Amino acid sequence: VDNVFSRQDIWTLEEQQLWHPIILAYALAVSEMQQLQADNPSSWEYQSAVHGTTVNIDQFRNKCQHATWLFLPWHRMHLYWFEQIMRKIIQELKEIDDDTKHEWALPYWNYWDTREMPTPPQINTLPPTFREVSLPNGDRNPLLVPGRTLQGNAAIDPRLVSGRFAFSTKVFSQAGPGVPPGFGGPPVGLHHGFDGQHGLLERTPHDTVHGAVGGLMNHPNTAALDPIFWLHHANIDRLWDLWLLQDTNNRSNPTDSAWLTQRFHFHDEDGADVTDLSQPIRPQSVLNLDQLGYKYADPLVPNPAPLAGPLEAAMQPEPPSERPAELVGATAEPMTLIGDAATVRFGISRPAGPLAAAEGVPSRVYLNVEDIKAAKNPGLSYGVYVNVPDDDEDPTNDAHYVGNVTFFGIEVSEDLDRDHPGDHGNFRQAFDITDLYTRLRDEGRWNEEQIKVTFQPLGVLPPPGAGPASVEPEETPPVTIGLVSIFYQ
Amino acid sequence: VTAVPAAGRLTRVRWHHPEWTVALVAVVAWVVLAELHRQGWGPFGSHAAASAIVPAGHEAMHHAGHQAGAAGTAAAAAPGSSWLAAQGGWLLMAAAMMLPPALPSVHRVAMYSKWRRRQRAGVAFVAAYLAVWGLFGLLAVSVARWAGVPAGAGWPLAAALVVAAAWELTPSKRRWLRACHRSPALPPDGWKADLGCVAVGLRYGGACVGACWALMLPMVVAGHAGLALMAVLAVVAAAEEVLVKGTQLTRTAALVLLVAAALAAIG
Repeated sequence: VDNVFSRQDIWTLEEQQLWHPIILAYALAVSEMQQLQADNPSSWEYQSAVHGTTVNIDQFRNKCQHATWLFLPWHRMHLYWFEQIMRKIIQELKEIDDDTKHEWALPYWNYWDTREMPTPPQINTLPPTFREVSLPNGDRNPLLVPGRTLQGNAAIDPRLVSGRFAFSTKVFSQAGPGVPPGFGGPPVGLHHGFDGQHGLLERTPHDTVHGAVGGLMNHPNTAALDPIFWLHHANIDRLWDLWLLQDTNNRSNPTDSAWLTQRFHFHDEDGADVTDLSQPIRPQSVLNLDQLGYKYADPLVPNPAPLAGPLEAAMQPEPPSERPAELVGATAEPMTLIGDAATVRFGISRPAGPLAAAEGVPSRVYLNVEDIKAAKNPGLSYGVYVNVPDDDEDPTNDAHYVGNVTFFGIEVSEDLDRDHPGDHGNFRQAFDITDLYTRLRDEGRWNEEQIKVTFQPLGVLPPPGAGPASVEPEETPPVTIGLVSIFYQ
Repeated sequence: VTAVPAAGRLTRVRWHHPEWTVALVAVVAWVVLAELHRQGWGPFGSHAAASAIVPAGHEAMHHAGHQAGAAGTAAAAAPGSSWLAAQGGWLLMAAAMMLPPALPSVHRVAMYSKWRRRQRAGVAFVAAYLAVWGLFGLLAVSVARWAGVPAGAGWPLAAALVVAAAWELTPSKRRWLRACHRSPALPPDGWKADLGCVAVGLRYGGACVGACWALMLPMVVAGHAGLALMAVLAVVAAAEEVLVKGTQLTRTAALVLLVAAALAAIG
């Protein structure tokens, strides 16, 4: 590839100039694509339908991959072909200068603040160009869409934009009863569905940001109609690259041929069906960004050491045991979350399987939140806290924080018109809480008989200095959790 | 960090696959059916089941032959006790054919139960699951007997196979298959856990009958042709249930069933 395009941080671009030519070109191209007929593969509607739709489903449309290890490569391909289409459209727009035409690449929305002392701008807000009513020439700004929860200066809760839990795992993909799925998702074949387990990066910040932006972004069939979708996914794509880069000795992509050779169907910038297998239509041809002709401008690798809360420090100190994980405790009744903090306690019994023979000291401890159901995605997510002491003044004590329960796609997760391969799934999420367990046990504070789990609603924070909300917030759609359980391995 | 001696291969299989006991039951069911077949009796119905449970009297055989010729009638031949035997035969067949596709679900139920409850959970689940198939058999066999469907004749079998093939091609088939892959969470302890396993078994059984009722129809009328046909149908059911792309196999399955129907019709 002779020219490697540089995908840039939208915050860097906006710092130089609110309507930086790269961003303006994006907005103008969005308008162009929106004017094309919905059956034109280069149209805005069609590109959104490639992700999810309910009509005209074929080999190209309604194909987004979630809750599978194909999540990251499929979205990389989707983004790649979208960028090709957009670049071609930009070449034809006379309002755009030659320099911009020459170097244009999709910007990314970096919302995860890894600066030690964050200085303005607050990057977990919607970039200002996505809030402007008009373009500089006075035309309607296509980057602003109605219905978003995230508006104005409001910021997403920092816990929902952080990759800390995803980055702390070294495994791309794993499976097993009670076991979390790894960074990229469980080893499940083609899965245009949302049940089962979302990979750790898919959960946070992918799902959480979809929910926090709200509106079109909160449903898989409309998400890609919001122009922020593409910048959000460029960031997810970048985080995949960063996860590998931060420790290339210990982190790697799957090498299984089932993963590498799964073929997908996309249209190129001329509307032609891409059939050449060396093109980005299979995971094995999207693993090298140089070959794809783009890079991320900011090579900054978030250093996990200063970033890490105490939880990450000792995550996965040894390879997983050959023992299966063993259920040692669970709730007996379902619980319903309606947007308030909720706490549940349940008993733990002594391990009785092979772990009992190993003196009962687990090498891994997993918390499972299972059988999650909701007719409507509540938009917000729930932070999960384990064993916060009853006398702790801070019920969201960071030392006890183990991750977020997220809901992207939950409203279609039980859809019987689509396949749901994998481990006979319901919508569920597992958390590795080994480090918290080890820490509390070493301090003599791990309760061997009972566990306490607190769910804390997390969403969009009001802008600093804002008064009380002028409108009553809508009622939070309820979410039912069938079971909270704990596994020792 | 605890040093654990490396477990033997068999031990690890037992750790990771508590459903091995159910697999063993399925194998035993196949062996029994094969033996019955070797003795010249169909897998269930007038002769086989009667002889499996009640010693096969020459007169019962004669009685069956009297009603519908040498081949007997499918489920309708023998009166009285052999009706009960037919149900027993049906259950045996359901265990052989329908336990293998259920193994992933048994696995899940066991692995998401406490260690000491793993086998018990599997048993509760399988009992409820087979009960649903038993209920279906009760209805199907009774109807076949009432209607006096002849067992040896080619046409009822061919017709049943065509129905099975047609069902494969409906969207409903795929929806039921997907419904099989749902499994609600299980309470951890006590009678609630047992009840939970039974409830999951009933629910899974319902979805499985929804998906595979038509596949089992040929067995209601198969008579002596049983064993080879059973094997074909069992492979279809297992592939659809267990393989990731099961719902994409329905066309192939329909084709296989149509070929079987043609063979049955030719006789």
